[in-house]
Order: sequence, then C-alpha cells, then structure tokens
Amino acid sequence: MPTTPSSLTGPCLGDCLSRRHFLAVTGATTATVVLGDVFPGRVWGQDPQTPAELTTLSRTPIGRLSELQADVPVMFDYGGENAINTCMLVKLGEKAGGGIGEDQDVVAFSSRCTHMGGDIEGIYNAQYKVAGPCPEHLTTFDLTRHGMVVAGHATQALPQILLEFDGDDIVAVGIVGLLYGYANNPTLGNAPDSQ
Amino acid sequence: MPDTPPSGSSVPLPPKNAKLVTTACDYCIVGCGYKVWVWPEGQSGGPKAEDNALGVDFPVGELSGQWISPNEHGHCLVDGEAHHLVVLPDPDATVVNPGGNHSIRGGCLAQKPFTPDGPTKDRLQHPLMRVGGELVPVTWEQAIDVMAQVSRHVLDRHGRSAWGMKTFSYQYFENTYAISKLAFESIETPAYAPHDKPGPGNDTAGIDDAGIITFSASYDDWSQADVLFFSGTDPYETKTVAWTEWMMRPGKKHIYVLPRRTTGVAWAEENGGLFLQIIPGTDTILHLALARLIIENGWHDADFIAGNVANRWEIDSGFGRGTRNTPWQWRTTWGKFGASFDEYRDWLLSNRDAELSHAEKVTGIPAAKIEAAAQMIAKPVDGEHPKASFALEKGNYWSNNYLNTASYATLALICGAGNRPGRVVSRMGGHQRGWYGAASYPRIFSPEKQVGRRKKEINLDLWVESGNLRFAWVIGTTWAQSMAASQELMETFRRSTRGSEHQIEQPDVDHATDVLKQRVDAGGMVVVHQDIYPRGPMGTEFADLVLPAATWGEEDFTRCNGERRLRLYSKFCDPPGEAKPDWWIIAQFAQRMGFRDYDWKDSNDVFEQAARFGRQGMLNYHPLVVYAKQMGITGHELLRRLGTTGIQTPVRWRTELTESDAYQSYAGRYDDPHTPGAIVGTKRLHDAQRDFGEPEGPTVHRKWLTAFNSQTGKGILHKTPWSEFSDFYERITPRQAATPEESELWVTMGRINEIWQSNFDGKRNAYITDRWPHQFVEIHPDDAAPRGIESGDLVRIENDDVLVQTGGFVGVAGGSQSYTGLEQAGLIRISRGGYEAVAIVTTAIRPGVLWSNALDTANPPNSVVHRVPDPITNRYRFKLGKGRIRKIGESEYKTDLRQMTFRPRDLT
Repeated sequence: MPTTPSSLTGPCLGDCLSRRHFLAVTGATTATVVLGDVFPGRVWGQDPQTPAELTTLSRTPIGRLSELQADVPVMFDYGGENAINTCMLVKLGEKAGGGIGEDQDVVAFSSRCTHMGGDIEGIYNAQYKVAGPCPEHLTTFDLTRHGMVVAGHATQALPQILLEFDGDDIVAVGIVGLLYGYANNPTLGNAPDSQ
Repeated sequence: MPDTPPSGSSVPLPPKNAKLVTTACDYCIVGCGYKVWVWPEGQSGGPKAEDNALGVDFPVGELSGQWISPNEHGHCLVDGEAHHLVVLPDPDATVVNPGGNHSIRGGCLAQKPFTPDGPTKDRLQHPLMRVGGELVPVTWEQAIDVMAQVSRHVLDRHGRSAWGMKTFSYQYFENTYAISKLAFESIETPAYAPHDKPGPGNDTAGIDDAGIITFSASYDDWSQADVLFFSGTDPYETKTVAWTEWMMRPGKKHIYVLPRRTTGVAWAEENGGLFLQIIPGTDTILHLALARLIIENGWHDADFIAGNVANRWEIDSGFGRGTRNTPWQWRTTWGKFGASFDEYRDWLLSNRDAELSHAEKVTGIPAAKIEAAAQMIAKPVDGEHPKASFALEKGNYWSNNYLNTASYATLALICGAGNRPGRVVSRMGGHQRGWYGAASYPRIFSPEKQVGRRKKEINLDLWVESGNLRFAWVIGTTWAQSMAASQELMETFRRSTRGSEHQIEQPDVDHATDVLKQRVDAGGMVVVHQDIYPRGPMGTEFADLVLPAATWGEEDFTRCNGERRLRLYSKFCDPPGEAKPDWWIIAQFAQRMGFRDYDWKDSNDVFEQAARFGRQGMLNYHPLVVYAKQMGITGHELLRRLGTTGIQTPVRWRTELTESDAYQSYAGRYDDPHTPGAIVGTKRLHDAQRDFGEPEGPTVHRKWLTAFNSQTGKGILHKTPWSEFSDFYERITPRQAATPEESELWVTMGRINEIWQSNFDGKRNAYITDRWPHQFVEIHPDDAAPRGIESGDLVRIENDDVLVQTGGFVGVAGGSQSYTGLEQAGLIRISRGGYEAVAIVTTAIRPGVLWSNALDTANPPNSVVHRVPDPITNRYRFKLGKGRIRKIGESEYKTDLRQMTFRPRDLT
C-alpha cells in the first residue's frame, strides 16, 4: 500500500493540489490513506489516524467550470449507471469542505440519501447549501461541510465525490464514503455496468 | 471469502454461517426491531445473494432496508474472540419500523459493543474502590462486602431513610425488578428516585387522574387520526420512527405547541397543519382558551362526554368515606380540580384566564392561530367530529406539571379523544418502558406530605441537600446534571463525599468499612456508582465504589416500547472484563445482606419471577410465562421466537382466538400446536368497542382494558386554576434590564435527533461527535444581534437567581407549600449556575427564549433551572430556566468545515 504523502498531512480544505499530487502518486483504484487527513471529520467511529479507504475511479469528466451556474445542480452517474449511482455537482457560491475552484465552492455528492436510499436528485436548497430534505423521511445534508447530516436519520454523511480540474473540465476522480446500496464502492472491477 | 478491511468505503457482509439473533433498539421509546449478525474476524460474505447471510445481491436498491452503512457494522468479542458485527434495522419488520426504517441513533448501534481497542475501550471492566483518591480495581467480593457492611451500619444507626438509591427506571425488566425488590421490599426505603425526577410517582399526574393510562395507544392508532395535536414534543426529533412511519402521512394535519420550529413543524406547516409558538410555561392558558372556544361554539363531543365522562356523583363515588390519602384520590375529589362537565363549563366560561385575548397575550400565540387550532381539533365537518389525537411530552409536563397535564387531558376528553382508534391520548415517551416493580414504593415512610393526611413521595435531592442521605447507590444515571440546579447539587455531593476527612487509604475491606462508617456517622455520605462507562462527576469524582455493569447485547433482557410491545433483547457478545448485569450485582449485595429470594441463576429466572408481580399492570406478561412452561420452554425462549414483533402487553391467554388476523399480527400472538390455547397481545387499552370475552386461565382483565382507569371507569375532567402556578411563574419570568447584556432570557431545552440521552454512546462515535462536538444554544437574531453574538460564537449562559427549595417536607397549614408559602417561611435560597455553549443564531427559536440540548453532561443547562418542584406532584419545572447570555469568544466550529453545522433544521 502506498504511504501517505506528507503534503496530505496539512489542512485539506480546498487543498486541491495536495489531492492531485496524491492521486498522481498512487495511480491505483483504491488506496489506503489517513482519512482523517484527507477529509477530516469523515472518519466513522474510528480514530482519525486510522487508515481508511479512499476509492478512486477512472477519471470521469462530469462538467465544465465555464458552464456551471451557481446553485444549479448538474446530475451525473459515477461508478456505474444504476439509479443509485446518481450524483450531484454544484457550485455553491460559498467555500466548502473539499471544494475546488477559485472560491473552493465546487463540490459533488452522491444523490442517494444514506438513510434508506431515498432519491434526493436535484433536491437542493440554494439559500442554505443543503441537499434534501429527502422526500422519504426528511433528512438534510450540509454540502459546505462534507455532506454532514443537518437533521435526520442517515448514519453516514453524504458520500463526497473528489473533484479535479483538467483545464475547464471538472473531473470526478474518487469517492469518500460508501455509496448507498453498496458493500464495496464501485471500482473499475466491480461497478455494476462493468460486470 | 477473505476478510475485507472495514473502512469508510466498504463494509464486510455477514457470511451465510453468521449467527443471527433479534433484538430491539437500546435507545428511544419506539424500540425499532433489529437483526444482529455476528461472525468471526477473518471471514466475510460476498456480494452475491448465495454468498451472504442476507440472501440479497449487492448493491441493493432504494428503500430495500438491506443496505449496511459503515456505522451499522462493528466489532465485538464472543467468548473472548474478535468478531464482526452487523446491527441492521429488521428489513422484514411489519410492526414499529416496517421495512427496516430507523433513526440515526439506532442506526449506530453497531458501534456500541465493547472491544478492547475500539472507541468503547473505556468501558468499566472491574469493580473499583477509591483508595487515596484514586480508583483502583478490587474483587467483586471485596466491593460487595464493603457495601453490605456499611449499609448494615447505616440502616441500624441512621434508619432506612438514610439508605437510598437513584437509578434508571427503564433499563430492562430484569434489572428494575431486582432494584425495586431490594429498595422497596427488602430495605423498604422511601429514599428512592428514578433517573429523571426527584422522587417516584406519576410523570403526568393530570393525564393519570383523568383516567387515561399514558401508553394506552398503539402506533397504529395514531396513524388513524385526522389531526394530531402535539404538546411539548416533536416526535421527529426524539421518537423518530413513530413519527416518520406512523404520523408523517399525507392528509394528516399536525399541530405543534413548542417554542421552537423543528423539522416536524416545518412538515406540518407544509401540509396544512399549525405551529403554535408558545412562550414557555403558558400551556395551561392555551388549553383553557382552546377548551373555551370549543365549548362556546358547541364543538365539544357531547355524545362522547355523556357516555364517557364522570359526573359529580361518579367522581365522589367510593371515596366519600375513605381517607383520600393517596395523591390521585385527593386531587380528584378535592373539589378544586375534579369536575363534572357542567361544573367545568361553568368554571371555564367565567374564568378570565380562558379568554382568547388574555391567552394571546400570555402565550404569545396569535388569537387567529388559537382559533384555527380549536377548529382543527374539534369543529365538526359534515356533522362528524374530526378524529383528533393528543400527544404530549416533556415540554408540556416539565414546565407546569399538574396544571398542564390536567388541562391537556380535559381538552382531549371534551374533543372525544381517549379510547378509540385515531382518537387517543398518550405520552409519546422518552425511554422505553422498562420498569417492573417487585413491590410498591413505601410512601408511608416518606418524609413528605401535603396538608392533611396526604402522603407525598420523597424529593430525594432535597433529602440529600438537607443532609439526611448517608448511603447513595446510583445506577446508570448522571444524577447531578439530570436534576435541577445541577451545580448546587454537585457541590453538595462533593462536600459530603470528597470533602469528608474520612477517606479510604488502603485497599482493605476492614479499613474501608471502618472509614466509611466514620464518615456517615460524621454526617457525610458514601456513594456507589454502577454504570457502563466512567461518568463524571458522580462516578469519576464522588463515588467510593464504582461497579461495572453489563448492558444491551451482553445479556438477555426484556422490556416494552411505547405501545407496550414486549421483546427479547438478545445477548450476542461478551460484557467487558468482569462487568455483570445489574440484577446480578443487586443479587450479590442482597444475599450478602441476608435478604431472601435473590438466588436467581440467570436473567430468565428473574423475568419469570417478576411476571408474578406484574399481573395487575398494563405490562402484564404472566400468561406468556405460563404458556411457555406448558410448552416446556422458558419465558425468554418463547419471547425469542416472537422476534422483533414481540407481543403487546397485557398478554392474554385464550382457548380460542377471536381477534382478527390483522389484530393478531399487529399485537403479536403465539399458538403452539401441542399446547392448549394461544397467547395474544393487546393493541389498545380503554378499548370499549372490543369484546375481550371472559378472562381465561392466567388472563387478568382489569377494568381499564375496556374503560378508563378511574374509580368509575369514566374519564374525569379537571379544573386547572392558574393561581396554583402564577406566583412561581411571575417570580421566575426573565427580568428586563436597561441593556440587552443585563436582560434575562428564558432558557429552555430539549432533545435533538442525532443525540441519544446524555450521548453516552454517541460521544464515543466520531460520526456523532462531528455533528455535535459541543453543547449548543439556539438564539433568535433579535436577541443575538444586540449582544454581538453570531453562529459559532462561544457563549456563556448564567443565572444568578436560581431558586432552591431548602425545606418544607411537611405541609401543615393551607398554602404553606405554595411558592409564596415557601418564600414566606424562608425556605427558598437563591443560588447561581451557568454553562457554556456554541451559539446557533436562528429564527427557529422564539425571541426571548434560548434553547439547548437538555442533557449535555459537560455543560448541563439544568444548572440554570430552579430546584423548586411543583408542590402538587413534586416534579421540577426543568423547561423554565432563565439566564443572561454573553459572548466569550469564537469556537473553532465557526470556520472549521469539518465539525458541526449551523444550517437550519426546519427546511422544507
């Protein structure tokens, strides 16, 4: 397993270069990182220093920065073409954990509620930068804070899609968190559409 | 298959041969059903249906109930060996949480079990004794020996009232049966209080006095209502699945009476309901105004009242010549409260407090909204009264206990609610119903009484404060933070334990016993704290002995949920170290004391013995135990077969079941082909429309099965004169000063969805502590701006006017126990209290009111709450604290995007 590059041990907030460096170094589909460093606050019942898995997928262009309008979510599939693979790309207009771009405000998240898989595709509150309420049981997620539950029942934050720029292209490169429905995040090997 | 390392991006699946048991959630009253799979580390199931214990292909689809989130997987020890664990809301459940619905709290249960190197590694594992100021391990024998010798000394020298217990009332029948057997049967001490109140007795006396058993309804009954009137609770936050599954349904109108706009309120307003944003403590005035509007307009359910509500003769029947010395007897028959409908109507219509304009002013709720609410709950539509149900919880009964509950029950009864599907009245509940009393509280020995021969249960905090308690055994509760004027109480404990010159200096039984005897004889106190974690300050600072308890998943336990549904909470893992279930610890102590009938060999033994002492109650499961014996199995084993459905108490045995299939499958049943008859549960109490047949075999039919729980079987209305409360309310109303900084605000509190209770498990789960890393306080922008407070600021809330009652155990003259009477007698002391919090500036909270998490043990808002209980019922007004708030800095969460969020919770 690759070790964690030292550039990742600092604050990660909007620190896109560090992640780019990390991904360039590993070049793997999955990698063990100190998740507390990459995405502080996204460690599940474990010590923040516990190594955890970050799933990286094939680099998938999901939109263009020049075409992205503030507070208008763009839907895309990631890791497969199942209904549960739908994700949401949004320019929040406000600095966000894991956000990229000049204002660190471009983020992407899964669009499946991590309570019971309710469909929150396009359900986005522009005033508060919140995904939801999920129509099933009203869970809401704060997209400026790594998809943290604002109120509700989900036992995991909304999985966040790691983004990078390739020129004007916004490229999805990996997932932090477990996508609803999966026991293992889809990778090049086990994504439903690749089987 | 090879083991998959658990992480945030994968969970190991249970292999086909994983052990499966059923249980129910350890936390809130709803008690969702769960399945638990346990299997050795080093193995894992596969994503194909044939390769995993769930028998499904992964990935699974939406709402399948079969997804295992990372928090639903954990680790534990089984026979000392490391095991994987999946705790999944039962996807096959048909009751409580159909399809595997769950809350965030229950969904994190897999993180609860003990592992030596995981987040719960600080579980108590060995009995500890404080030697030279430090807690050091001792053997069970040594610990029990010291406790027994000191207890014997206290009982002989200082009397039974000097020996007390403060314990959970809910943590499983087997344990509470043992606790009550010891306290009330063997010791016969009146010095006992449950975890959430200063003494035993009714939680909601006004509901009980009306003849309504507080958990008489089933969740299905709520689902059949057209209108739901919620007082002092948003079940979304705290009874989550009861709300999301049974109440959040299209076409239902919800009315919420709260000072704070919550998620449930937002849903209600979106769906034609109402939000009555009340000034804390004024519910009685609202109830009176609603009742008056309803009666003035003739919207009351006259037919129901004629057949189901007691007249004057019925109220007095059977009691005219009695002593009337039990609380409900004297309250009902006193003449001040109990009333026929005519008496009530006359009183109400001549009562200025019930006038709409007055109510608008006092409650802060616009008159138009009060009128709209009255129409919604009572105005007939096409000649039919709306099916209205009434649910209350602590915002109601922890602000003005007797008057709020009595006026609420009266309002419900005149609307025709109480005993029919869709027309029920109940608490929504906090903890599950886990109390199984072996004997009654010995009220006759209580040091307290009302004026006349009216014995009253003890106020244990007052008893401690006045130096009368010498031995305190605390089980599974954070006593000081949970009670009013918390900081004051902590100081009293500190003074009488660590402040004593008599401290154990050697780990020696004889020495420890001698020292502790000297301490109690010198007026000090010995504290034993029994819990699952080290809990401050009682366990970590004050206790002389700390005892490790086994808990959920570590022993077979039983209890009921908020619709009286009895289930087995199966054992599936090892308790940590030498930790033992509470019943076992009680038994060791009792046997060492020479008390009889504590020789239980296992928890089923306790369960079966307890059954004989609950036959008269609404939690009666005795017929189940009898049926199990006829089948040749244990009571626990029969309950195990009933899985997550369980059976609703009271359990009934019948030669032939006449209940419909739907009734049987909801209430639970068991029909063994080789055993005569069958057992069936009871869906609803006060069920006048049901023919239960003759009671057969071990079945007990109490009159409340088909009638209200009063002397005549009818509901009893109560007048609720505001003057019983107004002197105290005026005294504690926040004082306005020249500057905002000097002006006081109401400080009220409640529960937040993501945190269970004192967060004892959640604070060991980073997922929960990331969301709520610190105590918080919601403040309205109008209050925040002049004080320079922004979301994320660290603030301090202080009250230099905390009222503490210092005496008044015995009422002699009329009015002596009112607030005015206590003050005139010099029995009110003014103290101080405060706590720190992270500010959340939000329009969700009413201006003039602050709102915090009710039980943050590091920053308890009870510190600013007055320790002056309702003189009628001895219940604190927890929700009516007050204080000044000021900024003391900025918290890291203001800018750190990793923890806490300040987004509103009331979005639609």
